[in-house]
Amino acid sequence: MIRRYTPPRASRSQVFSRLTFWLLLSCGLAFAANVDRATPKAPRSRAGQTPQVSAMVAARFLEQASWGPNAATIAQVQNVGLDGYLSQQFSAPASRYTLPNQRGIYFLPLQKEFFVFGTQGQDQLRQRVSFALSEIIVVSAQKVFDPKGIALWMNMLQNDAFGNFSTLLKDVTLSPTMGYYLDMGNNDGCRTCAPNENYAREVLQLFSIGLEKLNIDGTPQLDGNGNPIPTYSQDTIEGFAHVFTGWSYPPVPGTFAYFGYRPNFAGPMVPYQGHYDRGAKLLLDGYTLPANGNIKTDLDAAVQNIFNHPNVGPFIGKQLIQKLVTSNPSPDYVTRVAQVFNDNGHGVRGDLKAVITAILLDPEARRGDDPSKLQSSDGHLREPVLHMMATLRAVNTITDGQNLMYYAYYMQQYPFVSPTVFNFYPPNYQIPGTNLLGPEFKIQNDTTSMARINFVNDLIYGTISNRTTIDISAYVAAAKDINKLLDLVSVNMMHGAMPDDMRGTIATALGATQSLTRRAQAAIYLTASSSQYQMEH
Amino acid sequence: MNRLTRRSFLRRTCCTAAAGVAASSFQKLGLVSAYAQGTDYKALVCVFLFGGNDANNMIVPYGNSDYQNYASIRGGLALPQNSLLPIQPKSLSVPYSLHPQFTGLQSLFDQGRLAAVVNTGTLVQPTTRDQYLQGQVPVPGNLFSHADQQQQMQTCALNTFADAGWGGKVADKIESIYGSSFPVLISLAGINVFAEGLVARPIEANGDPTQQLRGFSGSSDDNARLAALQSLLTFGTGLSLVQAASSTTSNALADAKTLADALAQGSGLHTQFPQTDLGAQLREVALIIQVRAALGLPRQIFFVATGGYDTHSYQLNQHDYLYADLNASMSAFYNATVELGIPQQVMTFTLSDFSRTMLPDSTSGTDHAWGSHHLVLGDSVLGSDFYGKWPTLALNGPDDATSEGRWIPTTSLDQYGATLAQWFGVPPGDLESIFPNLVNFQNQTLGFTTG
Repeated sequence: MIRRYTPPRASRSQVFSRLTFWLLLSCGLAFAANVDRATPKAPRSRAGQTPQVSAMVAARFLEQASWGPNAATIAQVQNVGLDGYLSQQFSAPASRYTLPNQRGIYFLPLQKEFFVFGTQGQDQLRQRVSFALSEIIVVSAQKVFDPKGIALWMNMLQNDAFGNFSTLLKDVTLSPTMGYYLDMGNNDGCRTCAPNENYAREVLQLFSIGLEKLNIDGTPQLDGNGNPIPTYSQDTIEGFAHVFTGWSYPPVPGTFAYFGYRPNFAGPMVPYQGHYDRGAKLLLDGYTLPANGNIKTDLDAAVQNIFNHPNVGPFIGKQLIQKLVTSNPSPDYVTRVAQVFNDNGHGVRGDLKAVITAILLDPEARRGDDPSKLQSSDGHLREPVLHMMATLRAVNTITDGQNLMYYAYYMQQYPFVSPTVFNFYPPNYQIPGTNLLGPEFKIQNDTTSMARINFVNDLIYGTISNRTTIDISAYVAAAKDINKLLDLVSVNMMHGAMPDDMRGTIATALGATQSLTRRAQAAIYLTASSSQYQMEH
Repeated sequence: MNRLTRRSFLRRTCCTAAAGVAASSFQKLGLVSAYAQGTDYKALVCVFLFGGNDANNMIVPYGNSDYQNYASIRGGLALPQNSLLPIQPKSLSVPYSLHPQFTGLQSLFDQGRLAAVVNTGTLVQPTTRDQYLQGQVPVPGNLFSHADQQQQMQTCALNTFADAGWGGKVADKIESIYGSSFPVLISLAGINVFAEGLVARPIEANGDPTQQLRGFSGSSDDNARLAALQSLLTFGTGLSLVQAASSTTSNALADAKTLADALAQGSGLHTQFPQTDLGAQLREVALIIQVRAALGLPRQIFFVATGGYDTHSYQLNQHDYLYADLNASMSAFYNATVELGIPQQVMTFTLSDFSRTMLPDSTSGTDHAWGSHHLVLGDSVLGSDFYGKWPTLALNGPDDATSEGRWIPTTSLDQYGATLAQWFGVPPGDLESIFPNLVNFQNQTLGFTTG
């Protein structure tokens, strides 16, 4: 069943003394809203209508469901509510990457588009989800030499982000980009050599079920001796490796098709029965494909064998929670999401739209809407591109994307160039010396933590590129009254939850200048560079 | 729930606390004079080859029948015999050879400065093919999986989760002996569990480890802003992840400054390094070693890394490129230690996820395997030799875990690490606390070092 959830109204006992201000602010922002043009189904609310949620709730929701809130989107969510925002976003047309013609170093146009879409695109939730999927099911331009392959891959994820996981898994399997990255393309079912195991291993280990049998709450099942139970053996890997034989790249129109065709990324891989292994193949949970099968129906059966494994819901569900909401979801939260994965309420398994809805509207995702209900382990470190994008959006950046990828590079998240199939960081990274998962902390080190702050410096005080402009006029306009400025910064950047000690410290620093611009800059710089902001909660 | 543990607070304050006790423990151990004279210095440098290095083509049998056997299994991946660089391990009667790109390393082997530790990997205890196939002995969890085997190679924890690595635990021990005013362990390849101690806190950088904050002019409002930034890092918010992020940033601010100040005293290097990522990391290591006195460290551990070794397809071309870099970078680094006058005090060694299948796959590559060959370099290495037992290169043979030539290690990672740790100064009685499986092996160390 899809949960419907009513966000809590701000309680009177809240310690936040500036609630009145938010309400005033939200009316002002609602008036200024001008963001619905690209979302045709958006219900427009009448001017002056009571907002459905506070600016704080809207901003916090947007931290999870977009690349970051700004005044306009806060007003939008206040107008239509969380459910309304989700339905708008589910039907918003997908940003699509331009197919480049050149090879080699020409990944730059794609990387620029990534930042353009993130800062200015209307399909914010789709982008967040497709990017999350790209970090679970990984290909990398480090190996895929043709930018067209990456562009088509990202467009496929954009397309499938709100579809069914089964469709996604099949599309991934036959994608020539993946076929090239993990060597299923031209994997020959020959008798004299072993089939390539690369895709077989990683589709199981990383893209669908993981190494250990899971309970529905995401915790490992244990055997009688308290040890985890493997989901598969080397024999299973070899079984799938044999299934994934016989596929080659689609021929360029007008050329002769043959097994062993050179990598071509325009269209799904094509089957060659003659190069398909003829033996029987062991799949998961003891299921076997008989010998002499048909290459296409066997592939479908193998994909379904994976898709129907009970691990998929908790394995994929938990990772999507980690990307969107919190690094350490409770077992109950994972269970609720996995149940929706298993059945969307209409008997359908793998409905990603339902899964995303369940993740974002879950009580555990929403409990921080009332800051007094936040748990100490809630939230997650914004990964570098999320930190960048949220900051860019908070200062209303218009950019062509130039140079932004280099900043991300120095934060170890060069877009589309993951160092390995294990992504820029793994989902199970535990912060040393704690019992907490903090996946993004794997790339938060001496260098990258400085690089984050220096990015904020260059954005606010320097120049990113000559086609990148920020607009902080609203902050400057408020800066005469330091409290007013900090209220605005707090709502737009920290969903109104900037702690009092932080606020006091920043206020002191702002008092050192009378320049309204310098004040606004310093307020944004200190907030965006703080751990309190970098850690979304 | 889920608070930072006592240990993490301890480790994050250890450097200031330990500095106080350092002097007294030095005196007790009589180490002060040697250290003060700068003679007591050692560095361990780990070169991690991410992706799983196919050691089957790094060291190749060279005798005619042994080569023919190799070539018949390797098929299209066999290196031509006349392209190989012959070497003669001192204690063996049959000849071997190195990959054609290893020209510099061949010389270093001939000069007695380089050794190979062969067919070494993760092992709970000595394991035969029958024992493995019949499940008679405990074996490492999740064999053939990158993430798990990288984790195990870096921690020696084969069936349990560990958030401290064996490099970090060696650093713990060193800090307990010498104290430390600055992290003993520096990773130039980002965060890796190898570097994490139970107490010792590493520096973990990628790219320039001396990068500092931009945009502060010294004006009064900039100073106020800088003070606020630093102050914000000290606030406890009740949110564990905020504290963790603040720790990282605070340490980064301090470490970058200390390192930059120390490096400013360096005189630079004449040794040329290759213009590669690995070359740049090793050059940085040499520059840091050059200013070891300014950092006040008698022992240092470094972690550098390079990737691309996951050669599932078209391996021959990739290996040429990878090994050219490895050869040039390691050779240059050795030359730099000569330039610095301390080739006996620096030991460089390789690790990787695992080796790869002897049998090629259908795309001219290889798949994930197990036991691998590793290289140890430096003037304290008893070089020109192999340590450990060369595997029988036969599919379904006595050393094959499957039927594709996945060699079951005949020497354990724990023995390899313990040998390095003991040379570095970890007392023999402490080795088992760092290398948990050592107790299951007859020889705790492999004898490839002097002193």
